[in-house]
Amino acid sequence: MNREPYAIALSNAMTEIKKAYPDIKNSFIFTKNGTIITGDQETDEKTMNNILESFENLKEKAKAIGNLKSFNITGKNGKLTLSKIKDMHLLLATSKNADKNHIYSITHVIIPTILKTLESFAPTHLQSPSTKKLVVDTLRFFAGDSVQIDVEILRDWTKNNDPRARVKAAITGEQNTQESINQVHIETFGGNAAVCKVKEINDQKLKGKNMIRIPEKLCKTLEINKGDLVKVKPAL
Amino acid sequence: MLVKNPETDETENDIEELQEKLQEIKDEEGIIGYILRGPKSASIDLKDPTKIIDYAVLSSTTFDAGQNMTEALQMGEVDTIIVESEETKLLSMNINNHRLSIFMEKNVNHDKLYKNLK
Repeated sequence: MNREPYAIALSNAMTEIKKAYPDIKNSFIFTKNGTIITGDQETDEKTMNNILESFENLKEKAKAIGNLKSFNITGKNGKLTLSKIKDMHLLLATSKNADKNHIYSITHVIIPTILKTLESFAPTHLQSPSTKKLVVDTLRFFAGDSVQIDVEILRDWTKNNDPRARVKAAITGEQNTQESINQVHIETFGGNAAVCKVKEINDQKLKGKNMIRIPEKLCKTLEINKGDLVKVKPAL
Repeated sequence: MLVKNPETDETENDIEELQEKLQEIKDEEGIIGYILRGPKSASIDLKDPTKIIDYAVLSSTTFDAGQNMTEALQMGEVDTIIVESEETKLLSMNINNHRLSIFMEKNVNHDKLYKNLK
């Protein structure tokens, strides 16, 4: 996914938040894989990378107590709050007397809402036309290693969107179709990705619900759960 | 004649007092254990002894990460650090030149522990 428009939107949002909450001195957002999405202008890249390196090391060691959810420091001159928001991490450095409720609102309400809104815009503005944003449903063990998608989506993908192919089809009268889709590329919003075999959804009740059914094992690998959104496109 | 250094005595008394408080804290509900590390010695009391190494490494890494981050953001000396996972929490703090890490279940009020120890 082209993250640039996403980063710009997020950066603008962070700037506005900083104006509303002057206690915020530094802020930046990065993915769980350590990619910085956006940061404020006062925090240089070297500082962000330095903090990121320390955090990645801590995250690894913190597995002793489970998956790291938040990290807070109270220093003599300020506070640092590092929170996990979906697949991202938000760092906020504030003055020592920053209002706890304000920080909570930012980390638990404002930023998650902005991220959710941006993600909902993603299919129309930030992704290529063949990419679909689908809701995850889990397939239990012994259901094979293929994912399942609506047959309409698979049919849609087999139509060739290349304008030259469309013109050729119009001239020759041949069908404007590609070979059938056997594999799809799945990408999570946290940046994890996988290519796997695809079949059409066989459960009548689940058809037409913009859903992708993924085997539990693959869900674990991709670190996603039922109800999450993923980006799916044909793997040609 | 034995001459006592009042400063050293005061610190030793403080540490003894701290260890007494930790003995009481470790029996409280939800407390998993603690690691207290001084310049010359360390005391560890964890309910699950198999986790000593992992928890000691985490405690040490927490202090290092805290120091690096506060230096990078010019936040001054570290007072307290809280590391939270889904079910467990770690409170780390410096007391009298000793590094203390208390491991607890998530629902334990760490502010209360902090006030009791400082």
